[in-house]
Amino acid sequence: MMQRTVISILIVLLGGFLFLEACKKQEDATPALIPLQFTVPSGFPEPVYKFENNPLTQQGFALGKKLFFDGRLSKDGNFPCASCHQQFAAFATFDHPFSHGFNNQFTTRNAPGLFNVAWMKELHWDGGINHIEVQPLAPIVAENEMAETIDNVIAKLKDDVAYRQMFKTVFGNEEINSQRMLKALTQFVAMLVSADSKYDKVKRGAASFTEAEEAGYQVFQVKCAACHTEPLFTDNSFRNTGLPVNDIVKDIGRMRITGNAADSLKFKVPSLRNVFLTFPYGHDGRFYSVGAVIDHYRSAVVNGPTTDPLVKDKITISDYEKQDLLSFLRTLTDSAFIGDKRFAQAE
Amino acid sequence: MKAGSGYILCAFLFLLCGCQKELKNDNSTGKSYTVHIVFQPVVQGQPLVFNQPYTNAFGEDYTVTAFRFYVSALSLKNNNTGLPVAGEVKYRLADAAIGNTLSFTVSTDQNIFNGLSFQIGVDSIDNVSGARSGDLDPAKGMFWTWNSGYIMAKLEGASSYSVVPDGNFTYHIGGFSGENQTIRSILLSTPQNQQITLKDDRMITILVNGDIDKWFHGAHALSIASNAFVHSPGSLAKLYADNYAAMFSIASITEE
Ligand code: HEC
Ligand code: HEC
Repeated sequence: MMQRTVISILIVLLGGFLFLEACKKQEDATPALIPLQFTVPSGFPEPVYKFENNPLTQQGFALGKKLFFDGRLSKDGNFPCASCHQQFAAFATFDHPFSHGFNNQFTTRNAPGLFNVAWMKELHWDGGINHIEVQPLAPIVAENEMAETIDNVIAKLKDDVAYRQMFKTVFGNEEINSQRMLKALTQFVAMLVSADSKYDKVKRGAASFTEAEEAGYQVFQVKCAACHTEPLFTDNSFRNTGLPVNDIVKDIGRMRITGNAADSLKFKVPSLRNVFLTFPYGHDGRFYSVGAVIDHYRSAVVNGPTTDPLVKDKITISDYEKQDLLSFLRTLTDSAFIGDKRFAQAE
Repeated sequence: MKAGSGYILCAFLFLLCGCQKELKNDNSTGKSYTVHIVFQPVVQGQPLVFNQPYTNAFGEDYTVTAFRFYVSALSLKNNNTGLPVAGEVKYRLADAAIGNTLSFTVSTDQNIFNGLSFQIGVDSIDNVSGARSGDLDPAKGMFWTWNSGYIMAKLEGASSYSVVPDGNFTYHIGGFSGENQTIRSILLSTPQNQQITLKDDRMITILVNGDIDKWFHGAHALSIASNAFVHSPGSLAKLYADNYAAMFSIASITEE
């Protein structure tokens, strides 16, 4: 009996406390955070990124999007993330082997499309970035990209009343630091999920392949899927596909990060989703068409100590098979993704 | 039978835990002692002065313009057994240019020690956990943006022996994984391995010297002429890490 009374009193007290807290919240006029759902597409594995440590909210995503499109993250204001990552090109740089950066300089690698980044364990062609959250630091400080310092970016954001308000809403107070900026950017980048191509619809039973596409899919599974593994169309490994070294850039790939000669000339296997939107191709953008990449596998593989066993004897692909492969790869274009208003620059 | 052994195991584990607690309580004095630990960068026994000309063991002239390192896991030791220490920070970026970053205040409830241990560097898990704040904020300039990971310690300066065009040397030492590990655990003993007894009404200051010359001539001989520029993990960075692991010693212990 006694115990029950104590418990009731506690409940009443707790209720009162919660009520007071609720009132307090209202006073402060910070809008309530609206949670945002990250949906794992059917057939996809669990993402690598742990959203628990960066709970997705509509406001957090909106802040990340504003940052992604904001030139002030670069030194002269001209190079937001979006200048090199364009939505209509599945967030790659349209039609450029290298992207324009600060002071008329160019990047030394081809900008990949940005989608399904939440599933990447390592980012960049050489896997030098070990976590999606710290990735934006690389372009921000690179002299040939955004050429800015972290401190300057944070100072510019602090100067802007709109940002102060947004950071306050998302993180509870007006403090702006690199961690908060990076977490917000990650909310935007991690949400870029592409899983609604014709291929996906076929997998879901909502569409069917043409004969050529189906034939191409068969070839793909036998000759390409060991590296470009479904459903992400990459196994996230680093491989040397026998591309001769680019004499100008002299890019040694993964070895730059590991210092290990066994990693020389290895590059991350890129996803082939949206491949028809992301041309040119290869880590240095040397291929101007998907067909040219296939021709490389058929006839131009250069063998060296680290060339992958799967390609070192070249890949036998007939002209018919090539056409079928191209038909299949076209089914990986996700037009819903490139038209998705959520990812488009706010007017 | 199975269930039975399970119970016995449980009881045994329980006893073990019980014992451990007791052991700790044995040494605890029930009082709290405050210990001040101050890192002092030195050259030839004298406090480091930025831009002042020095000469290293190779006869190479040099000046220092920056010296920073991550410190964590400060612990007092009694014959290599750790004393439970409160108040230590997880990671501190100690910066020779910012005096208060070099001193730490910890407290313990045990009163006898003859050693001090700490770690230089940032644990591997904290190198792969995304965006961090405080002393691990990448804006502190101790994070490689193109090859994610923390610079555990950096020494910068100038020397006429540097082969780099601007005559500077920059040692940015890092690497957290596998054989490229540059995290170093350091155990220092008190002068003459003397047992120090803490008193609850006195504050003790442990002055830890960090000898800059050891960067060039510590566990390994590394002249400025041979390397002036280390900016990535690898075998060379590891040698410098061995050298900074050898730079520290307890200079004095004073009671106030
Ligand atoms: C000047 C052009 C440029 C700008 C500006 C730029 N990027 Fe990139 N981005 C690239 C290039 C080039 C790469 C490939 C880099 C590499 O592999 O070394 C890349 C790679 C990436 C990747 C890794 C993708 C993968 O498949 O590994 C992500 C994520 C990314 N950028 C996001 C961003 C964000 C966020 C911003 C803004 C903070 C940004 N980028 C600004 C050109 C740019
Ligand atoms: C041994 C693993 C492996 C196999 C097998 C393989 N690829 Fe690749 N693929 C890669 C790697 C690695 C790259 C990046 C190469 C580079 O730029 O250094 C790549 C790049 C590509 C690109 C360029 C994509 C872009 O965005 O730049 C296309 C297209 C492509 N592969 C198609 C195929 C097709 C089609 C097949 C089967 C005929 C195939 N690949 C087989 C590993 C492989």
